[in-house]
Amino acid sequence: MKSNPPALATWLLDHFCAVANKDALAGDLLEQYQQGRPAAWYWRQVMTAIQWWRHGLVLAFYAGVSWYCSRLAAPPVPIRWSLDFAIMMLVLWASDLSGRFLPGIWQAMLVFLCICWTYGPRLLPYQNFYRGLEEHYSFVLMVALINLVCYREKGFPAFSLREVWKKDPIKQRARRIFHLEQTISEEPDPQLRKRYEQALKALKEKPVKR
Amino acid sequence: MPNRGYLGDFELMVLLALMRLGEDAYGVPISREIEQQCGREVALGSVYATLERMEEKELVSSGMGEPTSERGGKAKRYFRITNKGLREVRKTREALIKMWRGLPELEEEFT
Repeated sequence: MKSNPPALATWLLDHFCAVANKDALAGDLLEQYQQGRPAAWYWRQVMTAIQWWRHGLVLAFYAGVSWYCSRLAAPPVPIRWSLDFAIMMLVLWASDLSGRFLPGIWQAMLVFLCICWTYGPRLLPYQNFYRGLEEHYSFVLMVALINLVCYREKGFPAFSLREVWKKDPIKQRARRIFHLEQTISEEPDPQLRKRYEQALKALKEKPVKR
Repeated sequence: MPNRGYLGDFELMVLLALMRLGEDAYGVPISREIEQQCGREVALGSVYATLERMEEKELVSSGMGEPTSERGGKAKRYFRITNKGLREVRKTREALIKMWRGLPELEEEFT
């Protein structure tokens, strides 16, 4: 048996692959690698799976936003405010945005943050952070946040709330089936597993309304 | 995304590979089948992206297999063509045959 595949490539696959069947794909790649495929093949497959050009576009977008904000902000953006923004971005990035446990929580969070940024200067805790900043500066950051959420949730960058909210019943059903199957495979309690299996069967038999 | 009416070439290849493999159709054999028959390297990520798109259109269905240690504890996902998928393959085949017929450049290869 060969050694483990390149760790960095596996990490990239875990964190940046937008394919819903990511675990199955990772298993397939590992299986092929163990059967003698070279490391270069593994890297090629991972880079295609994560669609590296898409991430390049997103990085370019954030670089543009940072440059634009640094030009607008005079005096320079307060460090505490920047930290706030960075932490919020990180929390959103690390959250389970697929709504497996709390459907709708991240949408609510997004609305809250948008309101804070738009009316922030008039609300007490945000008063100091916004002093000296232009109005449209917060708008640019809002767009950046929407973009991040959409990118994390759907795998592509988008610039409007409409894109974030757009729902496809077939896609939603496929996602629910996927999550139920994952839960069944991880559930140790046979009674609970049986209940999940019944729910899965009912979901598969239920016709999709467009 | 608007419905184009016919399957794309890669979608068609994946569906045909599913039909050839029958019950044992998961990522690795599907990509291997396409590689062997078409002689080109296939990205597994593209295979999964295509399968997911076709699952949304209800052309294929899928189910989880058992996790194995040689795959790092990750389960296989088996895919099957649905009746709707089969109809789409037939429709695309008929359209392609109609387009191929009567072309002098392809006469020799076709007969």
